[in-house]
Amino acid sequence: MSVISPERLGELLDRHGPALVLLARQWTAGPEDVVQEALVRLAGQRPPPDQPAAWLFRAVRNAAISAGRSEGRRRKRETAVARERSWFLPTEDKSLDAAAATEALAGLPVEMREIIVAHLWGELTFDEIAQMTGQSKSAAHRHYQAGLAALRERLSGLCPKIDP
Amino acid sequence: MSQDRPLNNLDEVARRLRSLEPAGRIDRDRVMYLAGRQSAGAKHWAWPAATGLAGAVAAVLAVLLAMRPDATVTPVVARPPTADHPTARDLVDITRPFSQFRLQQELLGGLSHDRAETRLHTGSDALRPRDFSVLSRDGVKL
Repeated sequence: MSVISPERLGELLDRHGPALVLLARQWTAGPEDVVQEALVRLAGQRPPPDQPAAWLFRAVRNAAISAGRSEGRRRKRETAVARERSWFLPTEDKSLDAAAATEALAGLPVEMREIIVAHLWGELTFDEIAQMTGQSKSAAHRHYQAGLAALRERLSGLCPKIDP
Repeated sequence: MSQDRPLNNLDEVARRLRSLEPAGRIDRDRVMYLAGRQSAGAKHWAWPAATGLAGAVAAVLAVLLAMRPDATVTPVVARPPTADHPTARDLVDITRPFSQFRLQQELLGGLSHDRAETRLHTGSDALRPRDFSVLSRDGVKL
C-alpha cells in the first residue's frame, strides 16, 4: 500500500510548516514538537489522506490541544513567557508591527484565533476549517469575521495607520 | 456574497496580517529522517512478528518441559523358566550338530551341492525359477 512521497511531504512542510507551528502555538508551548510529530504520523498513513494539508491541520490542532491539557502549571508559565515573544518574524513593513500583531491575536478567544490562523496563514477554506473545528461552515465564517473585526479594533490602537 | 470572501472593510486587515510570516521553524532534515523511518518501519512488520511468534512457541515449550512428569522406571522381574513358559533354549535341540549340509537339506531339499551353493550365494533361491522352454504338442521340451 502506498505512502505519501518524500517530495510531497517536503512540499507540505515548506508550504504549511510555519502556519502549522502558529496554529499549535495557540495551545502548547512546544509547537514545533507537535508539528514534527504530525508530519511523521502523516508519513506512516496507509493510504495517505486525500487532503493531506487539511489532515495535517486537524492532526496538529488535536495534538496541540492534547499537549496543552497535559502541560502542568510549569508549562503554563512557560507558555506565558512564550507569548511574550513575537509569533511572527520581524518585518520591514512599518504599518503592522509583528509584536503588535502578536499581542492583538493573543487577546482573542482561541475559537477565533484558530480560525483566523487556519484561514489566513494555513490557506484552508471554511469548509476545511469547519471539518477541523467540528462546527458549521457558517459558524466558522462568523467567528472569522468577528475575530478579524476585533483585530482591526485592537490593531487600530496599536498601529495608527490602520483605520477602524 | 460568498462566505469565503471577507467583508471589504476587513480585507486590508487580513492582507496585512497575511503579510506577516509566522515564527518558528521545523528541523526539516530531522522530520524527513523520522518520516522515512516511519514509512519504512511500517513495511517490515513480518520479522518482528516472526520473532514474537518464535518467542511465544519457545516459551510454551519451556513451560511444557518444566511441567513434564518425571520418567518412571518399571521393574521387570525375571522368572525362572517353567514348563508353561519355556525359554527359546528349551525349544532348540542344541545337542544335535549343526552343519551347512544339514541347512541345505532342510532348506533347499535335494538340490545339488553346487546349485545350492550358488543359490545361497546369490540369494536367487528366494525367486521361483521360471521355465521358458518350448514344449511340443506331446509335452516334450524342444
